[in-house]
Amino acid sequence: MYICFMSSGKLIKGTLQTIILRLLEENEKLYGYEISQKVKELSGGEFILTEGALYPALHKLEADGFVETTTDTVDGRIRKYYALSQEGEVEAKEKLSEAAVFIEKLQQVLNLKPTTS
Amino acid sequence: MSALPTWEAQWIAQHLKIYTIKYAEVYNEVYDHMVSAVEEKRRQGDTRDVLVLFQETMDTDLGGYQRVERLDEKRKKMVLRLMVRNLNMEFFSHFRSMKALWLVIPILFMVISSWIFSLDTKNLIILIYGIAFSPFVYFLIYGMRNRYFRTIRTKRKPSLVNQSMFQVCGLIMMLVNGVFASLPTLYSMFTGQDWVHLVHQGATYLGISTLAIVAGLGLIYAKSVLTLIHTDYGKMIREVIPSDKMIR
Repeated sequence: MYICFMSSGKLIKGTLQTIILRLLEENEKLYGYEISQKVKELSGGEFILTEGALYPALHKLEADGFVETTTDTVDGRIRKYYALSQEGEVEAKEKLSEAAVFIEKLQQVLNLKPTTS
Repeated sequence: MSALPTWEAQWIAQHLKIYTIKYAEVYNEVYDHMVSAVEEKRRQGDTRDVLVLFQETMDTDLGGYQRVERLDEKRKKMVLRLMVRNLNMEFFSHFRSMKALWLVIPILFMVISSWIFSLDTKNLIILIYGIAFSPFVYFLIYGMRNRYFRTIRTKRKPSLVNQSMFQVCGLIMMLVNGVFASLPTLYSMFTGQDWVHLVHQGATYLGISTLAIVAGLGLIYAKSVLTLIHTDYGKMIREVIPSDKMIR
């Protein structure tokens, strides 16, 4: 699996697009490296997205029309920024509520108690 | 302001050459990711050699040599699939509602013209080939006029979006050649008759009505490709060009 070393990649694989949509919902626009760093930061270093996972997911969201891209020249190199499209904003809300329901049901099935740190 | 000295950014660009990244768009993303990652490590006070930082980022963030090479392939498949899907949607939309007139009127016009003006089948075949080549020629002129072919060549790497669009434009030429070339063999398979003389006839054996239908379908297909050029291709290529290099 190409997502991270610490937590199970398979558990995260199904929510990768939701994670990206959520980050783009909270930020006007982000570039690829920035997205991977924000995920790492918010997860306390637990989730590390490799480019092999991140960019195909971003390109899939772009192909589906949920994400729009723009390109700028930064320090002499070309940088591609990703932002949510109007359809992406709707999709982000739907995916987040789906994820919330899924997590709740999973907790019920597995009888997991949430940990506080 | 960049935390990375120019020579280190150049070193990264030089070192990326050992990774076979074919397309400009993929190269730009990988290069930006690598430089941003090394810049961030420098900002955090990491003073290790750029080679060490490069290799660490390549292994952890990009997944190593093989994964980087596969990025081109994955991206190309995705772009082509999107273009072909939208092309097919546009093409088949002509068989619903009033758009069907785009098919019916040219066919009727060609059949009627053949009676009134004694149009030869050879003229129709030339017309079919002309229709088949038109998307390619149109795309070439459109791309050159807007500098889409020059502006985004990075490190002499072609654009994935441009290459995919050329492939899509070439599809109709392949189809026409394939159909005209294979029909005599198919005819021979089902009738048991000699197909060689049919090849020499150059598809004129098909008759005016059949050729008119082929030309009509070709016209709709070419129109669909032109729509794709102005919608999906136009959108994708403008997203690839940096805003300071955009022609306004």
